[in-house]
Amino acid sequence: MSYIAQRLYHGFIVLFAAASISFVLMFIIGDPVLMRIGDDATQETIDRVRQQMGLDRPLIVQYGQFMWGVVQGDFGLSYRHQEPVLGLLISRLGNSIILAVPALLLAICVSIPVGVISAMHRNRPIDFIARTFALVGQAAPNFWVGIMLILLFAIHLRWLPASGMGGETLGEKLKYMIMPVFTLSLLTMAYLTRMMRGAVLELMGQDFVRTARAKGLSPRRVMYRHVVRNAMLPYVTISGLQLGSLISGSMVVESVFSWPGFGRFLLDSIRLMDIPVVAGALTLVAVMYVVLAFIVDVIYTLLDPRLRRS
Amino acid sequence: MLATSWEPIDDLTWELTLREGVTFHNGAPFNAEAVKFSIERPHHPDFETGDKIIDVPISHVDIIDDYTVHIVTHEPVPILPQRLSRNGAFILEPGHYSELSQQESSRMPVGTGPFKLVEWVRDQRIVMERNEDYWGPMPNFDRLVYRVIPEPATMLAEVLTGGVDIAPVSPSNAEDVRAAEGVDLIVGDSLVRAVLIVNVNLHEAFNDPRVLQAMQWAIDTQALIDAFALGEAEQAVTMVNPPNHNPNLEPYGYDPDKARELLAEAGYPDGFTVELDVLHPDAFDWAEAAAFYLTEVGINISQVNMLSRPVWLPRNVEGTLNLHAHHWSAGENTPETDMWATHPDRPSNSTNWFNQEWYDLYAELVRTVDQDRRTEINHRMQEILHAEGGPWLTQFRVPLFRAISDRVAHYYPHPSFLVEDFAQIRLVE
Repeated sequence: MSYIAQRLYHGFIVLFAAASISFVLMFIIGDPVLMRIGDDATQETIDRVRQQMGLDRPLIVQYGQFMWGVVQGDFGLSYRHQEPVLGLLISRLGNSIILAVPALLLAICVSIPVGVISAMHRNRPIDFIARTFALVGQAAPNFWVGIMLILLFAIHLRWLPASGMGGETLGEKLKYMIMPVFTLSLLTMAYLTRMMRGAVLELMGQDFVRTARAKGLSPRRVMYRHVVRNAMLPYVTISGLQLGSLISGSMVVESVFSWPGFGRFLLDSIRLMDIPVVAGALTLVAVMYVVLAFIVDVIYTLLDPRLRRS
Repeated sequence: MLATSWEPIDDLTWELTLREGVTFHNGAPFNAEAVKFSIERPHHPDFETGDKIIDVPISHVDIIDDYTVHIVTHEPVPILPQRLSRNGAFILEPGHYSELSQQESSRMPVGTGPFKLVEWVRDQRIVMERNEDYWGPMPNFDRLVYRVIPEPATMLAEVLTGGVDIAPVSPSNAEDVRAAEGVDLIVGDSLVRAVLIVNVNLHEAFNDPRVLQAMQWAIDTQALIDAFALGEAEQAVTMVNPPNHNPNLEPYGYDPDKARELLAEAGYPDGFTVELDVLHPDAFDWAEAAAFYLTEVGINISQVNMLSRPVWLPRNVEGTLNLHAHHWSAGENTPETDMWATHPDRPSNSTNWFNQEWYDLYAELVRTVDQDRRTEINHRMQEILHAEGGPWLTQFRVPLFRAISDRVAHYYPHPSFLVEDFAQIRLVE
């Protein structure tokens, strides 16, 4: 239990730091008052709006108010939308999760078998094909893959809609999701495949595997019972954290496919200096990572009994 | 148009006759009451945002009868009709807008136009339905959907696959659109100017008109237009758009030798070095080319900086930008709103340029109602700008490129860029 308590404590420190940094970042560039009312306003208007927005108060007071708000889940009003930030972010987060979860599942379903088969047939043609695929998948930029898919499936074949989040029935909705999910998944899929292959290869040379073989266990049983199970340890950590980056880091995919998700919303808010939204989003991303890391840690202790004792 | 006539009856009063038989989207009648409410609204002290988008010193509005109003101002406003027809100067339904807060009503607009708002899903789409009670000619389709597509390549794909019927395209995609089947390219004129702006405080050389003239002669503006606007624009002489421009003035041509001569005369035979800031992403390509032309005659552009809006806004107000490239237009097409760009009293005037005669003429122009005298002042002011060479250089109006599907007819982009006339669009069977 002390292990989990320690994890929680670390998580809290990370969150505090993330919230503080997001507050500071916002004061580095530009003037939020001008962003809101433009550059043709009179000094009188500028002063009044500055006061309305609470930006005339001392920084330390603004910081205190901001942190107190964060504790209560209140990041203030978006400058652009004049609505509570949290609600705006959560609705976008939902749209991103709709893409991220299937993308991660797809990546897992492909990477585990491909990684294992590739390792088992090391340096044979099938391994070569899998490695090439993984390398290309990791190297190809998201926006390029996205545009190429649109070119092929929307313009030439006319099978899928080019972009947007639409459709009335479930089937239609899925049609809008296919290309973005695949594009988003590709990098993670390639990354996890390489990781799985590497882990399996490393474990296959270990003593306990040799022992298992010497005991006369079938190769299949050695692979699934001993090798793959142990390989899952680092795999779970990485794929859990990948979910975080799939949700928060999908700006490019969301832009290419006009998907109204979290990443694109964050990008627009940064461009338009919507400070409360950017600060709220950064803090929310930190929360998400801390929660994911915590869940991964818990799963880890379940998979590896040694950790429970320390 | 909701007004059928507009006449000044003295220096401070305009009489407007309103169209009869018009109703708002919620069924309420459009009348003098609504006009009075809408025009006076931003001038009430408790108006929430304080934003007076129609920059007019309104005193009050008198209701003469249901369809006649007198708009009374504190000072003469010869361009009141233009001010009242710009984006943002909308007539609002008094009942709806006094019940709701400004925040709520901004999401549920009620007007008199050909389409009414049905659904607004932020960052995705705005859905509008035909207003069956519209007073003008009716569009022959029921729904109009705006879609938000941030990526230009995706937008192009949507046009080519029939996902959208009308979309803006960049000049670099124009050829693809022309070549595609089922889609046409149309080019519209705009009020937006591509302009190279001189901050005269940046370098002492800029205080000498000969240096500004040299910069004008140094840049081949026609070549920029051919390359970056596909030849679909004309070089402008000053910041005043037609029909208010002075037709007797000729734009500076391309003559690098003359530019070098003028620089030498001004005492800069070896030129000097400055930086160039780009304020609008679409301006970057032509600005880089312009920097090359300036460097050729000795005005060495050491760096071209692409600045984002949060970065340049405060520097624009402080007047600390370098030489800068921008795309800009006033909300109205009048000489005073165009020339306000370089007026010393304008908070966002980034030029620091000053000319006493021009300044005095401006003060006279904004109070002069007589058309002939206005033209005289306006043309003289443009002569001054032209003779000084700056502070605005190398200008052309940015053409609007649109891809439209073959099933859409009679669509034309509005030159102001800020509003669209959707009532004119017809679907072809």
